[in-house]
Amino acid sequence: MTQRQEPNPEKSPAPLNEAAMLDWVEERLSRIEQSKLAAASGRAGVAQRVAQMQANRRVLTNLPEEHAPPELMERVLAALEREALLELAGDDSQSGPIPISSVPVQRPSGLRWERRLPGMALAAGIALLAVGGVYWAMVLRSPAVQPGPAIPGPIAQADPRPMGLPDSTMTADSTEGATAMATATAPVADNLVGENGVSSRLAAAMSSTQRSRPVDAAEAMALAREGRLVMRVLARNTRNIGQVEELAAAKSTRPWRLTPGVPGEVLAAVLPVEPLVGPLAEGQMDRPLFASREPGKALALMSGLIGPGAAAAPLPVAFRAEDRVKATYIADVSDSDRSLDNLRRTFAERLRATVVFEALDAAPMLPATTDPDAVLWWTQGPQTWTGRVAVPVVVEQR
Amino acid sequence: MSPQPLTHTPVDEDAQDLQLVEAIRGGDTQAWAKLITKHQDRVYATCVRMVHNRDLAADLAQDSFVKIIQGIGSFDGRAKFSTWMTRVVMNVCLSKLRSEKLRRHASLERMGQTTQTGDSEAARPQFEQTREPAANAGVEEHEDRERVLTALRYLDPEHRAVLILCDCRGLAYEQIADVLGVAVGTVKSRLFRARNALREAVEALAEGRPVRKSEGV
Repeated sequence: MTQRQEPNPEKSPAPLNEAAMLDWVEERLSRIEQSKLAAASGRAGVAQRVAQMQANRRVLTNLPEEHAPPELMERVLAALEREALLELAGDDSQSGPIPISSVPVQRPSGLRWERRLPGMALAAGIALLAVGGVYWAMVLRSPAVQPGPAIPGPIAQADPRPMGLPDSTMTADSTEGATAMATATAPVADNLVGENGVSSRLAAAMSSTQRSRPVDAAEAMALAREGRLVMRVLARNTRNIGQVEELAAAKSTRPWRLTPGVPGEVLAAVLPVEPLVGPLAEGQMDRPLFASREPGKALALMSGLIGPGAAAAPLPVAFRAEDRVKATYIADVSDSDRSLDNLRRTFAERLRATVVFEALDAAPMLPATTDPDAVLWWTQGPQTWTGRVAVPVVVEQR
Repeated sequence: MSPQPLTHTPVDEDAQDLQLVEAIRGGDTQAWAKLITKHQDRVYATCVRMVHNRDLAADLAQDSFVKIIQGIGSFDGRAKFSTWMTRVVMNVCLSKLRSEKLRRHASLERMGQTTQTGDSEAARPQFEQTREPAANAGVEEHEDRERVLTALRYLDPEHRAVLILCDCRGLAYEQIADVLGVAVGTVKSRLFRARNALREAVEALAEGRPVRKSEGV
């Protein structure tokens, strides 16, 4: 209706008969029926409205045909195939709206950490190689070639008893001398400081209160790894020492090698300092009873022994042990108890000696090995790629 | 005498549908293609009238056929196959319209404002822009058709459905009742109200007024 009528409170129009109106719109009423219906509606303009509805109806009725797109068939068949596949996969597609198009979501198989396993394995292998290389580098670089503490070794007094000397029982005659000697220990020690290392190290050894101690075979290897092991060979006859050197020099699978000589500090550390108490025994005058190797100093030290009143002169602290040392070596031994035992037995058997292991309080500074095979270890067979330890060997004649 | 509406499917046509249904139930895959070929235009046209978008209508037609073929086992034969098929199509279209009702209203409001300003080009339904006027249709008829189709989009989906089923498809009230699952009296009442709403919408569009929801006559 184009003009709305205000509702008349006194006479409201009757509700429309929608079915009848529908019949009117769809032209199923006669003209008389239409007029009656219009009059019964109580509304103006009903006829015009119906006419508009009829016009709209004609438009809808006369709409042109719509033709489906030619690909609709294929789309339907493709959708049916997808649904069939989904049903085979157990998907209940009929429970919900059918998607127009669906793409199966492909999820990566396996857990996230499983996909990273190859990379993790590779990283672990590289790390293992790196750690192994560092370990072997540290092991093969034995303590013998690494500078040890600079402090000299302690005085090794394995045998508290002076060797080759009478008992150190002080006699009445020597009491004063002993006292004087004791009081003169310090000045004498100071006088011993000289250019050669032995004297200074001897002084350090004299002033040191450290002692070595004998150790058994089980503890020996552990000490060797720390650089604190020394092997003392006590033999009555050392003329067969050459055989041992030949064995060491032979190219074989022997697990140890010998490098001649040890520094004086090692001797000072391993050999006992034997203070002279009392007069010199006969036959001892021709021995070097003093630490200094220099004739001048030796003479100065000997001056107290010569002439009248020599007994009252302070006697030097004698480093007597050097005279009985026949040979010294640095043994480069494979890091195993078996190798160390092989070294001990070789010296013991060849020299018919007593071999003892002693522990030092601190690792002495040992020179680097000059053995080419030890330096160029990687040129040897893998069976030789083992850790090595350096053990000072002191061969003494008793 | 008012012309009888096109309500009845020829008997032979219905018999053919039943044969195709039996063939499909028997596993004849070719029957699917025959069924689709026979009804695809009708299904597509229904979808076009309902949503006024050819692309969307093609998707809905596809979905409708898939549902028809998958659910053909549930057809019990009490109604005509065409009626049952139309029910499936309408359900698909109504579901789509209900889900987009809010969005469609917002777009229609914009179209109504542009119509007020006289921009008839922008007010055209989307699918109308791609179609050329019928060869024998006058300009006035073309404009009337455009206006009616535009107004049709302002109607509620239920009103739109009854108008399309009745006027576009020519179904009888009983068939419309079967399709929509309501009583015949409800169909008549809803149909009259739909016509009245369409009238008001067409009138508002012609006068450049904003289209409102249908009110009483």
